[in-house]
Amino acid sequence: MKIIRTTTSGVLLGLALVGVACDGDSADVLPELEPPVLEPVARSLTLRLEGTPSGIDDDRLAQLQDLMETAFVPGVDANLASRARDALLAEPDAHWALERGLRHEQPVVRSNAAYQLGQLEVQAALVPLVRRLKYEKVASCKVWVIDALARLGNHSGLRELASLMVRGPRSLQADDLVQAGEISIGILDRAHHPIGRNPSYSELQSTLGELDRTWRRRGFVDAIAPTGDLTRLRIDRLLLDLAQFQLRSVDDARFVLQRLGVAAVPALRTALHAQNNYLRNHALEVIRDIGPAAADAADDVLALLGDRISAPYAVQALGAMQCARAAPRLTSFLRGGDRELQMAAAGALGPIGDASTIPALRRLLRDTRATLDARVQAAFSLALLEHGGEGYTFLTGMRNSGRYHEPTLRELLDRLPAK
Amino acid sequence: MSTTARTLLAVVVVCIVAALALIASSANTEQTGSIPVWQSSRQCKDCHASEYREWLGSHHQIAYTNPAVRELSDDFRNKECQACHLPRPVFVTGVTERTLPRLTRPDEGVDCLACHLSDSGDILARHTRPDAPCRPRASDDLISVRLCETCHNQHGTTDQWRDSGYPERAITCNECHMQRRDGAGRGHVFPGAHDLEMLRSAAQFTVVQEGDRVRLRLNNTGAGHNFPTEERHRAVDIEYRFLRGQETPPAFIPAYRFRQPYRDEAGENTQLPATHSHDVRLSIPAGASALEARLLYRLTPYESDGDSAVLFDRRLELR
Repeated sequence: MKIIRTTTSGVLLGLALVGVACDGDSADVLPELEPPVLEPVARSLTLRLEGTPSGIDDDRLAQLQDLMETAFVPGVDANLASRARDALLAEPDAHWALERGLRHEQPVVRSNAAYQLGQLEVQAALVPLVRRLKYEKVASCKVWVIDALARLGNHSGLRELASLMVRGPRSLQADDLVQAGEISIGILDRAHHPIGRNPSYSELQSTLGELDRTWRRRGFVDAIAPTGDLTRLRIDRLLLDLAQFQLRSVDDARFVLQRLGVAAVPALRTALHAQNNYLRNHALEVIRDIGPAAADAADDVLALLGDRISAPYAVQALGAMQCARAAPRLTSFLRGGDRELQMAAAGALGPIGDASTIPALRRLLRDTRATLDARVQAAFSLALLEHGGEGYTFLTGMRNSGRYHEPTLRELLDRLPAK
Repeated sequence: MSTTARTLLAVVVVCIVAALALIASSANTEQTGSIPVWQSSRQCKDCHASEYREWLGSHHQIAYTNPAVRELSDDFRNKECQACHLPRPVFVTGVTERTLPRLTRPDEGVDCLACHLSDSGDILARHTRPDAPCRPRASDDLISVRLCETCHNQHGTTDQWRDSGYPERAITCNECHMQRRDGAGRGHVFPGAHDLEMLRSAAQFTVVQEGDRVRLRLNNTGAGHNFPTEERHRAVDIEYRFLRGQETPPAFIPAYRFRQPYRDEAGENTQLPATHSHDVRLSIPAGASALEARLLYRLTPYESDGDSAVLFDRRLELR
């Protein structure tokens, strides 16, 4: 009996020692990951959208478009144009024509349509305006799209507005530059952001940059506006587009959903439960791109850690959301197993900002048996957590040696705060 | 049993347990039991050296690192491109479904596992071979158009093939792009738009005089899909110039472009479908003694004449 006791205690001691040798991070035992419960979300969305009217009568739209063209196309008699504009704006459904106007072949019509949508504060125009932000190539039109979005409580265009005021091949003509400056001042005023009486363009850029960072962190301005039926419908359509095969519709949907910020999060949370791999994982990636502003989706994302296909993207999303609750689980992924998970976790822990993960990250960085992918990501996280140090030295060393994918290294180094 | 013996026994047990556990953990996931966990193309190279050599440097392998691709995808800022240029195994994410992007091993691009790793983690091949180290399991999907479709229908190529008449002749992607080798098996280079011989086998370019005009004809005789196909960047141009006696030859003049426009561009898709032909007719100017015409293949529509591949170069003495 004594032999058994001694041997048993020896075995337990041995297991404990091995446990420390293999892990060394934490004695906490994490519950086993369960596969998430997935639902036919795409099918439900399709059925719902099929039964929902989403536009206005074609004849009515044609009438409104005639008014819009008379109002905004150059060359029309000024009085007639003015009357047409007043008549158009008096119509409660004018926004349908103005939304079409965002895609008009003449830039001046596009600018006017965007301006009026902003003035009317038609919340349903949010989706078409953000989509226009993607495709508008004429800078003088783009500033009006950004202005309209800001009036609708969406600051996702501010970074571009700031960049349009930088001298360069894509910069604005002198008149448009003045216009962009005035639009910027208006946006900053409405956001109660202090700016001097005669600010320089660089001051405007800098202050817009601050506002842009606030937007990226919060994903809304002042208060979260209730989402109207038409906007919800349009967001649901975008979700379905995420499940398409061709790139362009997927790319458009991702672009718009990401820039809707908090307004898109409830719908994206639904998509995280989709059986359709593509829909579920694109929703995860959009949430990752929204970042901390998508914090409400944390529980849904955490549940996907048990999904073999989605787990690496879920890890990335949790990192971008700075979800501190995920740190212990993500640290456990550093030990190896699935390399995609290990790499994703190594890169996610830095943005989460939990200093207790530093020893595990350092161990991975120094483990020459681990993949370079994982070590590079661990170096990035360490560089974030330690403000440089060993991680930064590793990344720059890798870049100088040419041993690892240069664009990836450049992107990681760009994400580190300037020293 | 003495205390010393008992202690010794305990130490021995501790050591055995520790050794077993460390062996299990130190394998770093490459080996669990006798079946490896497949994580990289490098695991394939010892047994499949020739296939590995063919793949290494192929446009599948450099799909993510190719500087031209990075430039055209805005350095993959358009993340959708990544799903096909750095894909997870197609059988894991679903055959004919859009694949999903891999996070690791950017230098391996479209790797061995993209096509050969099954949903259950074993290796798929043409034949079941329980005696081979990777224990491949036969899969018909592996050699099907459906597998290629996951990425290559993104720009409509397999849809074009379905309308081409080639399926009825049982000519699939592999017949042209995975040619049989002299020994066993098929090549893993996947020749396509970067292979001059392959491009020249896709079409015939003829120039004939018809009275006071010349006819330049491109006939898609060899591609089971549009020519050019796949990416919208590809362009095939017919160019010509008339020569007058001893005069210095003028510059070539563009006559026709076969290309699908970018999504934001105006214009029609002028790619040449399989088995179709397209004619360009030119009036012969007074004093012209000969015509020179050529067919250029451009990897991007912006590529200069000098950088483009000259597929055919024709000269016609005029009567």
